[in-house]
Amino acid sequence: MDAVQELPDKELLSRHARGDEKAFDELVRRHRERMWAVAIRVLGDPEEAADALQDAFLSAFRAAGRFRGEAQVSTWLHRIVVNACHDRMRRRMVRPAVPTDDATLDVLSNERAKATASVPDPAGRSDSRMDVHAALEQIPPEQRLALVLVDMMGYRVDEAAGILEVAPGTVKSRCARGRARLLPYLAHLRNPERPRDVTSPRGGDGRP
Amino acid sequence: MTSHVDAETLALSLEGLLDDEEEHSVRTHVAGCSQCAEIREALGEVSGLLAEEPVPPLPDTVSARLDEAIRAERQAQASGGGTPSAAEGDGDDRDEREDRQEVGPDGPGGAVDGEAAEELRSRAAEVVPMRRRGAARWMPYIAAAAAAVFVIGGGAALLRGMDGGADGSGGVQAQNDQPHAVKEPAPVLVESGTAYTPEGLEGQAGDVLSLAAPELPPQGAESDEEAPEISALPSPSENPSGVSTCVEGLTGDGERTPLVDVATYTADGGAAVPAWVLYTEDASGSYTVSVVSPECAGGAPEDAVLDSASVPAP
Repeated sequence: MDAVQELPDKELLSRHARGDEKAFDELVRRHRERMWAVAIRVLGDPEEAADALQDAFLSAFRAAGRFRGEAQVSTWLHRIVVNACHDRMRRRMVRPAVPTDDATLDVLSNERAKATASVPDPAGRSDSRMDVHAALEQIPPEQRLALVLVDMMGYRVDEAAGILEVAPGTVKSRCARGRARLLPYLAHLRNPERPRDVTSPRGGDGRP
Repeated sequence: MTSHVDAETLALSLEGLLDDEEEHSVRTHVAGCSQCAEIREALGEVSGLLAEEPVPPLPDTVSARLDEAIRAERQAQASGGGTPSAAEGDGDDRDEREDRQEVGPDGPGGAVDGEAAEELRSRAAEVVPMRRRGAARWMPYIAAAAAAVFVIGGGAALLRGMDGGADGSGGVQAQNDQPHAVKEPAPVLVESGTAYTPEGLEGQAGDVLSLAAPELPPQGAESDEEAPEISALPSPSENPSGVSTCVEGLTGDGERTPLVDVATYTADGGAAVPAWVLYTEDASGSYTVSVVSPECAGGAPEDAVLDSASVPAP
């Protein structure tokens, strides 16, 4: 097998900047699943997530020469993906008729649940994913991004702060405000048997 | 018995973000209030609900698309054109955006390095969409300024066109050009002098609201009724343009925004920036307070929201 698979991210990025074709392909291969997870959680819609992912990797491809090595490559890539998603959220905001009231929310989530009814749900709650995403649509983008990184992806607050380039306290307060805003939309998903320990592991998938 | 604690304060408390005094009063209240205790417990479960959300796996088609896009980009670069790799487009407006993106030979700034980050923080742009960043770092600011001038200028021209310039109330009523807009009275603009902060937002908003509320028009007031002045709060020395665009964009169905405070906002560790604080009332009479950057007038209101809080009915 090719040696690129053994190289650290930073080395791959600098090889890419020097014109090594295999290096960037390896970076994409290495990070695409996780970047997809961020994009699909932020945007909810697979088409939009795919577009954002493509925008992001192309941006990274072009901007690699300016990576300064101060951050982790992974953090840098996350930031690019987050920016690409943010861009798409903003554009979506200016499109007409974003439903905001509860009735529309229900209709929306039902429709989406139907549209994806054939997708098996590992959690066994076939409508929950759509409910959660419909709920996430209801909160400000900054709060949604913070919650995706911290609560959904399971990143530490300082990692999310590095990605979002804000203070850790800002990440925390965005998460807190976002959770408070989400609460009314998620109340029906609450499970009385759920463990009550607030600090229990968040079940995310690791670090950026 | 102290009054109930709203969900946001409870959430901030769970994150350890309240100061000692606030935290103490929240705890004291929650200890004796099953209703607030239940909300706090539910809040604690939100993280778990989010964490349990399954992630759909990366579709193979998307992997293939990525490979193809990168291959096309590589070819384009090799042929020396630096041409946007729009060939793989799927019919949306990506082409146009990529044209914009290709300002410099090495494309847009996806990375934000230390010094750029400083610049960004200093203008409280919290997540900066990379599309705005061109070949040189100062370009976006000029572009943004130009865009703002364009929008404000357009709004003013529209105002003059529609009203023959007779309306002296500045930009507030300038932009009711959206056909679907619900005709609400223009919001009352005040300049309370409050320097809003993330931690203090709720209390500050509560204070301003309690001063203003008695003089705000009742819900459902006629749209052509003249917005009153609030005797307890000064009016802005100068009415900023574009507030109404922003208000329309951020006021949902069944809501109204009767009050806007022209103020400043200081993010954690940042400098004070100009901000408009929108007081949006829902049907039940409680308020959502949104701190927005004046960039809001540029047409992406949701994006300009710097912070927000809920405040119970005054």
